[in-house]
Amino acid sequence: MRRALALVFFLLVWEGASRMGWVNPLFAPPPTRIATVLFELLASAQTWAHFWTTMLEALGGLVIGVVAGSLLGLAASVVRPVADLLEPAMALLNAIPRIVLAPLFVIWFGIGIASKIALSFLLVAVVIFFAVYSGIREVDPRLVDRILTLGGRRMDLVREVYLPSLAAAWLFGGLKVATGFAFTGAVVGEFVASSRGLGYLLSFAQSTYNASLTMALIVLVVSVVLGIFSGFERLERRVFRWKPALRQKQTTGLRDLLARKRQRTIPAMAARISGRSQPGPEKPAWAWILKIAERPTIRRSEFPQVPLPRLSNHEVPRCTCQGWP
Amino acid sequence: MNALEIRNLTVSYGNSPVLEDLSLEIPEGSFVSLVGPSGCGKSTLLRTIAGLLSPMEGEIYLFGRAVNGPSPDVGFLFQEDALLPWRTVAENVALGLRFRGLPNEYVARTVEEWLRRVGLLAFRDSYPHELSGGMKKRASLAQVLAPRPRILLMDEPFASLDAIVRNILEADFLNLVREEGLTALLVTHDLEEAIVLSEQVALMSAGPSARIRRIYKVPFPYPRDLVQVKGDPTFGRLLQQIWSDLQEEVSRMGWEVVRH
Repeated sequence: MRRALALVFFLLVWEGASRMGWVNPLFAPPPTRIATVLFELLASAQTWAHFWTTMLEALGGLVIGVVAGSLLGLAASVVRPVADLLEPAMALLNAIPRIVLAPLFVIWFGIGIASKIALSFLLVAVVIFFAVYSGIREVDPRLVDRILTLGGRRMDLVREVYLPSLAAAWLFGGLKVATGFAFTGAVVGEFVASSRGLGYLLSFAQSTYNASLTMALIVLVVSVVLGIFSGFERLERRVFRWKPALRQKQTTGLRDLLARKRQRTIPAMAARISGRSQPGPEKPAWAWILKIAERPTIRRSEFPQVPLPRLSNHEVPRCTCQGWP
Repeated sequence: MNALEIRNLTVSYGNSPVLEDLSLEIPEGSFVSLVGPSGCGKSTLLRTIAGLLSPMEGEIYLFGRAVNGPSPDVGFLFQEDALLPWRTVAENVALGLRFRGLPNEYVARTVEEWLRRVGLLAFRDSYPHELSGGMKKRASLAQVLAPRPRILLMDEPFASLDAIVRNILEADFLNLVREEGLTALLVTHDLEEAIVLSEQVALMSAGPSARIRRIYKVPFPYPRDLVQVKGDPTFGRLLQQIWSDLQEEVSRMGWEVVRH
């Protein structure tokens, strides 16, 4: 609610500034103008052709990239030689800004949608590969032991522990990043060389110095991505029914911590300042800063010093899962 | 026949041997507890018996067969409740049975029977995070016992529970083990628990290079009333004796630490 109000306020200021001539409407056209352009865009059949081209490229790259990245990640974590082969290549691809390959892909695959799908595939696959690969390596070893002692084989491990842990810990986090990358790949690919798509429209708008069209297109792309995100979140809540933390709102973010802090300290502070037992209605949002400043700092020397015994380094032995007689 | 036979076992992490030249025999159907100073390698021993670690030297025989990997004869009850968090209680209990490729109908029937035995039938469709600590422990027990292992290895299974739940669970659990005719090897920090539950208490020496130092016989016949056992003067004497031996081991380990 507060966020929505802030947005409205921002848009109003922008609108006003633009209309009063404080900012050049050529560079920052007023939001109403952008909205008009957006509606015009949505009303024309041509836009939709461009829109669906970009969607096809981005979603195509996303789907193929997620499937390929997951399979490769899974293979790398189960079969050692595959990891030796893939990891350096993927690390290299991860280190470079993969978007520089766009011109190369245009040369290889032409200016049609194939080069864009390839670009967004590459962006997505690398992200997903590392998400899957590191996710599997960080699987809870206790669960692995549990499955092995219950008589599970390698495939059972994959099905019962690895796949769910994957989905659980980060796939959805990785999936969101990947969605962003998929659209980046599609739109940037269209920038480089294309005759269709939202990226093509964007580059057209840019070359004609049409700021309102540019912004309208940006709004369009952003809302599509946000729409996909909210779909993921709904799916996340459905799939992770077993997860305690996702059911209620998570309160681990810094903002939430601060909010909690505020709840505790502000009524007390207000009571102290006003001298009343009833907390006053006005609560300065920055009051927690005072509270932190008031807190006594514990000096290092005040910590109890416990001499720790030096132990030899233990190497964790490899597990010998030699199958099931 | 011996359910478990360990001959001159050496297990090392890297170059430092955790267990060295350790031998132990457990007759079929008996209940043995393993106590020792913390860090002496009790858990390592248990994991080696379960086939999760491979020994450097020596042999382990379970019911006359050499161990070279996890065996279907072994049920392993871990300290933590390592139930799969994404599976319901019933699905968790079914795991071991499904891994053995048993027909669905049999699996469903067995799971239901075990859930009834541990009193969790009403929670069959709950997820582990919805259960209390004691309930999770009972679910784990059902999960481990449902595939009918012949020997049960336990790594401080009751350590994380509060005293009341713990006493109740210990009694229930002992009954289950006796009913099933299982051989049991319990690793614990709690000497009282060790004496109250088992027929023999094996004391391990301080690590590194730990071995079995001494074995005490517990002279109480089954079925036992655990509260009554704790009130018996013999119990007190035994506890005192093991405790003083254990302290000796702990102080020996203290010297080791200082010398390093």
